[in-house]
Amino acid sequence: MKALLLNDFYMVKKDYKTYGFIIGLMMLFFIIVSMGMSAESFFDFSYLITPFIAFAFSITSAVFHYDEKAGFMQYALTMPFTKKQYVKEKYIFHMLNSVISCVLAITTLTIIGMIRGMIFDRNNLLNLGEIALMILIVSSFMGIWEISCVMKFGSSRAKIIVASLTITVGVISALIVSIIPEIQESDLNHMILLIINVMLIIFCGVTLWMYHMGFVWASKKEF
Amino acid sequence: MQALEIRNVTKSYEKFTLKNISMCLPQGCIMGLIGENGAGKSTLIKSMLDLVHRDNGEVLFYGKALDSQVKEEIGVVFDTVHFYEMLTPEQINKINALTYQNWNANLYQEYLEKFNLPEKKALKDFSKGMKMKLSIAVALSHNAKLLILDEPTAGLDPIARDELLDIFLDFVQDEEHSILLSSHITTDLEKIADYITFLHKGKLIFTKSKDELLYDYRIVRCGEKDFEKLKSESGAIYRKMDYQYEILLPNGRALENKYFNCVFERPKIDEIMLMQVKGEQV
Repeated sequence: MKALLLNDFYMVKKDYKTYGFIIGLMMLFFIIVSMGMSAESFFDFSYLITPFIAFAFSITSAVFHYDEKAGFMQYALTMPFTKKQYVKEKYIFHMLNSVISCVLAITTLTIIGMIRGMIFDRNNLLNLGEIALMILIVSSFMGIWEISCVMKFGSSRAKIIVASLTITVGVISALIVSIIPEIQESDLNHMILLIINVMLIIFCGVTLWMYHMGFVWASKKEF
Repeated sequence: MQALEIRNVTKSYEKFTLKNISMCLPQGCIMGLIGENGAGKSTLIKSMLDLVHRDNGEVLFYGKALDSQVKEEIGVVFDTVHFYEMLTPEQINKINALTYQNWNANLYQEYLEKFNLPEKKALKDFSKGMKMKLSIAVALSHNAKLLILDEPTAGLDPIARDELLDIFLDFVQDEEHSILLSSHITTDLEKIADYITFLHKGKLIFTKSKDELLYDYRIVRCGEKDFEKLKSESGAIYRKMDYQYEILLPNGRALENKYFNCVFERPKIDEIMLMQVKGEQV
């Protein structure tokens, strides 16, 4: 599996200047924008997580595109790798991307905090930890959907599916967040909160199923 | 010991079926796999390597089913290189060193020098021939016992092809190593193959030793009178041309004295192929 990771790393490495430029620009942009905002905690900057998650996703997506273009999966399976190892490596690669994105996002927030003179007390550090966890969880979910969809539909269609899913989930989440005060005041708040929790559990369950199906679809893949 | 055993392999698609293919590649030999475009050569190779799911049948490599350990001993070359085009041979060396337990970096280096392949140049700047040579260098550099080559000499100039054929002959010299080589360039197979397997429309037409094909087979070009006599011979395949008949005789060498007034010619492999595909059996 180290060989597969090295192969993916080399594919990303060729674009490291571009990626570095984009990340640098993103970090600078958010630092500058944050100067004009009033904020009491790091949670007020949690919107930052979206572009960093998108960044991790885009690298994994690019690697699949390169693999498909070169027909590498077919060749890799003539080497001492199994389909299961190939898929597993992609999940690990995506997790590494997610961790790197997470570190970059937290670094950006830390710089913002230092510039704004925020105190890195227990609460703020917990906030940073929660944001890091959110990035890792959301990025993992997106990675699972991406990788399993690539195994079933190919990289082009997988990108469309995951993008549509992300937009849908994002819109629904934003709607829910925006109406939380109304929900809390409503007589049906317990029912609504129960429905939201059930939806979350179903979504997590489906994602776990997609993780498993990534391996199943890979095993059925023909070249 | 058989390097490769294929038993009753069948693979069906909507408009094509590879049907009940059985053949063996003895250890220490080179087998040429021939057939027209769409005959099923690549499908057979993919079926062997589990790149497509067989509907039926079994494939054994040195008596074992394909797994990660067996793959260590197989070197595969397809008709195009499947590494990402921005990689360099140096990077491919490092990837393969982590892939194969018996990766021989020094041998890989020797092949790069022998084939004049620049180590730090990206594959996108390689010609088709250079890419093919690189694929072959990789296949030869991890102490594989069996090479499976799908059109490895396509796109190579005659000098490069000749060099490669010499390398393939060296590879099997010790009689421990074997090669299955799919190729349209039948002259290459005439030079190095020990056995020829011919596929046509998904069916195995024959697996024979090259010597039998080149030394025992005969083609006779004759008029109708001689054709009427010759057509009754066992295995005869004929084509009616404008002014004559062409007859392929599997045991032609033995018939030369019997039909001394006919002109018997030794066929090339592509002539045998052509007769098998376009000819009619009596």
